[in-house]
Amino acid sequence: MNHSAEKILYRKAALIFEELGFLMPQSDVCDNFQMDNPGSFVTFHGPFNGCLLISLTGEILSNLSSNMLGQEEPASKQMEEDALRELANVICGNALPAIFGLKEVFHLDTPSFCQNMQSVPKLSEYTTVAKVAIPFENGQASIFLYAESAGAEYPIAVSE
Amino acid sequence: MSFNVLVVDDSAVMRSMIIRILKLSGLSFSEIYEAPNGRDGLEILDRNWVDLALVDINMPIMNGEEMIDRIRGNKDISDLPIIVVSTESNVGRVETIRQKNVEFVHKPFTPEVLRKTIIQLTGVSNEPLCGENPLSEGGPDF
Repeated sequence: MNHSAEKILYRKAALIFEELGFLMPQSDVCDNFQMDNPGSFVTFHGPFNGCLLISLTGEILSNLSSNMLGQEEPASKQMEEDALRELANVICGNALPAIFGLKEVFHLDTPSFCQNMQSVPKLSEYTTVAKVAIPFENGQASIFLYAESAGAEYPIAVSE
Repeated sequence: MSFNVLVVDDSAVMRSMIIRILKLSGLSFSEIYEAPNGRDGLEILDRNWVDLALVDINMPIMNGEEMIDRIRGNKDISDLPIIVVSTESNVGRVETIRQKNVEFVHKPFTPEVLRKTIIQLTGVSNEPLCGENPLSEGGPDF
């Protein structure tokens, strides 16, 4: 695990939850990673291949989709999954260049929804580069950045 | 001036979010079309007059770069103002996209950034049509 990468991943993800989902992270420290809840993942290719995965607990998914749609009532299941896929896409697209540098070219695949982390293909073949847990008023987001073996040792571009 | 807009993004939630920002921007729009990929976006451009397109890059079926290349290669719509709305951060790829004569808005964006980019690209009036512009005071609370 790389602590610099985790700091950057936390900062980027927290900002995106605020700006995209209008959800404000709580200040509590949280290291209770949740892996058995609905989530989304996006695989990427570039200097190394990998995957970014998000898992949400509590009412965050419902709050996120309603906020993004600007509506009071709960969004449909389809829209909730779409919101979660887009969230993974935006976090991954922002976190990779922040962690590994703006000159590295990563190509992101279309994000996918998953019922839990066990249903993510090839997850056991990846190494964990960074994982962060972000607490919110109504739940928690766990975010995992995985890489194939070469990526686990890839240099971090920004020192924290 | 009232104009027609096309929003192309594979995320229905993101399209909805962008359209809501457009409607609250104080700018005047006649029709707002939406498409989930570049191919469907081109079909809409074939059938309708559009004054401005907001296009994502990473989409299935036809991505935003190919869609933009086809627009620029079609003499009937080659000068269509386009704003790319994407997570792309790589300096080389962003520069390559900018060379297609487009503006670039990075996700996540604030409503005000999108509004300013539209005004800058289209030259439409910065003045709100009636009352205060709802995006000018409240930050992201829209």
